[in-house]
Amino acid sequence: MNPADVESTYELLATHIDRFDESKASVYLAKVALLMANEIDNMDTIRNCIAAAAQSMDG
Amino acid sequence: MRPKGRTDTDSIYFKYPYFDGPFGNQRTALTTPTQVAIIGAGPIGMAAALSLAQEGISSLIIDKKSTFNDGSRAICVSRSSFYILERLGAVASFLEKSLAWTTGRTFYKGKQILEFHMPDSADEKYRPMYNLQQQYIEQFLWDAIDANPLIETRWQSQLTGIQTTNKSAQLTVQDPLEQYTLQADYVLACDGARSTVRSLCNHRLKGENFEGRYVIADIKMDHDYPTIRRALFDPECRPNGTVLIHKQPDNIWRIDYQLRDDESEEGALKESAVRRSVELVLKDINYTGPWELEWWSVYSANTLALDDYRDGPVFFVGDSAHIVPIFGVRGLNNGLADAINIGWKLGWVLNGKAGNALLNSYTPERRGATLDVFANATKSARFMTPNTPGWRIMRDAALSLALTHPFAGELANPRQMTPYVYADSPAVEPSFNNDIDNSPVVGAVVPDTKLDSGYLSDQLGDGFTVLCFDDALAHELTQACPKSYDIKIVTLPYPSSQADLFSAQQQSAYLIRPDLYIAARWQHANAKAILTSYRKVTFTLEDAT
Ligand SMILES: Cc1cc2nc3c(=O)[nH]c(=O)nc-3n(C[C@H](O)[C@H](O)[C@H](O)COP(=O)(O)OP(=O)(O)OC[C@H]3O[C@@H](n4cnc5c(N)ncnc54)[C@H](O)[C@@H]3O)c2cc1C
Repeated sequence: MNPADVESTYELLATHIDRFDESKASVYLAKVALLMANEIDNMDTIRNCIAAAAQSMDG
Repeated sequence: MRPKGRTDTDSIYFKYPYFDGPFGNQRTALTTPTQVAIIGAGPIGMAAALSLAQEGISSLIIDKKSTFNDGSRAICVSRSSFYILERLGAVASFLEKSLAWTTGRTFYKGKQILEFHMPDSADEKYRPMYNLQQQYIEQFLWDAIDANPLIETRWQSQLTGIQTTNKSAQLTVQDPLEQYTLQADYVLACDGARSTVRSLCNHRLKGENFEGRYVIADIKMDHDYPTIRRALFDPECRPNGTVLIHKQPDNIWRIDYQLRDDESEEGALKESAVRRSVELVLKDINYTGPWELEWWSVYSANTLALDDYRDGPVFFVGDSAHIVPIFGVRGLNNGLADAINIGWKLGWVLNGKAGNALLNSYTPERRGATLDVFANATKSARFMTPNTPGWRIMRDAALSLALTHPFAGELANPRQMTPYVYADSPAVEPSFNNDIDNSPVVGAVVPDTKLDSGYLSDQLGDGFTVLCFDDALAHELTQACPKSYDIKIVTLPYPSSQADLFSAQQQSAYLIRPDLYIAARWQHANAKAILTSYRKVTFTLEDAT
């Protein structure tokens, strides 16, 4: 992914999360994750992404 | 519970029989020792008695009640249970009365997000699921018991004490006239979730309690909808909750609805509250006609089991050994599988066809099956009543996404009931030739298939069956098989679609147990190997006992 696309993803998610109140935002993000997982269709990649996100929460 | 003015068994469509306690002649032999005592004439105790009788073993059932269990309780009877009922000689009345179904529909906020179909085909003798009220289940089993001279039943007879040694048990029984003791070589504790035997023997069920509580209510109405299981998530009548709707015979409908955390059980079980809740569900499914309230109760989702289903001469069978969440539809089905498992094994040991050690395979097989049920039921429970933020967020995301994206709706598919594989049991040959591709594995239930006339299951013997595909092998086996061995040989054509189902070559063979589980299989069989396996799994080989 090129830096411009990463940035667009970042901005799109930010503006969309802000359309929902906090309790709905996590359901929204969960849907994004399910839809992306369905497109990626590779369980190793998906598992790695989920674990990497959790790991980076420690800091 | 029933509406005001009606007693526990005062049903609007079913006439509960009344059974006297032992009287007259029956009392002269009250204390005569018995080979097998069965505590509890619920569905599981009755099935166990029939299974023993199938092996020619007589038994004595005692039950504290004077009639069947009240209310419709367990209503979903699975295909695998129909095979068991067939073996018990009781399936005809079940087929006649029950409602078969294959399809489920799941709705979210009133919109359908999933229609699922359970596996079914012309090769299957029975449908994947049948709905039938538990009192009919008990009635039909009772009809078979009543007609069977090998089974004595004492109603209004409560077990109040038990003392066991390694060899037998001393039972104390209280009936309306007196208290007496009697000796039994073996005891099948089929006395349900609150088992007296279990507490007298100081055993405890272990496991988890889930949060979700459901009211289950039966109503009678003229509602025009096929026999399709409906699951309503977040419906208008129960915001954030779940509702299940099942059709039963006699125009009776089962409505299960989840209670909110802030709803007290006591309040929810009041007749007025049940009527109000049912009325709202009916509005949601657009039923506006008249209806009558028949019966209601409450349940919560538990996964509890004993560590060991055996204690010396006592075997725990059915709800006394395990309690499973109801939306897995396994309470009754799992119990029936217990009953036939211990039934044939104890029968074979008592009539000398198998060694004592066969009985040690009961716990690993049936407790293993229960743990498998727990894993599935825990999955369903988390979807039906998610109990942490993580499960709730993902469940809610999946449900609402499913409105537009069918792949997410599949997460709501309950995927009910495939029988557990007894892979690690001592009563099957361990992972024998596991390299036969796609063929049914050792420890699995033998698949059924259509033959020129009838089904393969019609051909299987009452004892063991050897399935082979070669007349020469069948002949060799017939010659070599001692008379005392209870083996029926069935030869299927080769090549054929039936042979393909078993990934069979001409020399292949399968050894099938009386409960239709595969005990062993070979790609290249010979009579000697087959007979050795038979001796091993019946524990009649000297060095295997
Ligand atoms: C209110 C209710 C609702 C249910 N709803 C569902 C459902 O919707 N779906 C589902 O799958 N399952 C349901 N179940 C569970 C289902 O009914 C059981 O899994 C099934 O009945 C198990 O059968 P059993 O023979 O092991 O036990 P039970 O049916 O409980 O039978 C036990 C028998 O033992 C007798 N007994 C007990 N103690 C003694 C004693 N000391 N001496 C002599 N006799 C004794 C009792 O009288 C009874 O007849 C429900 C259970 C209840 C109680």
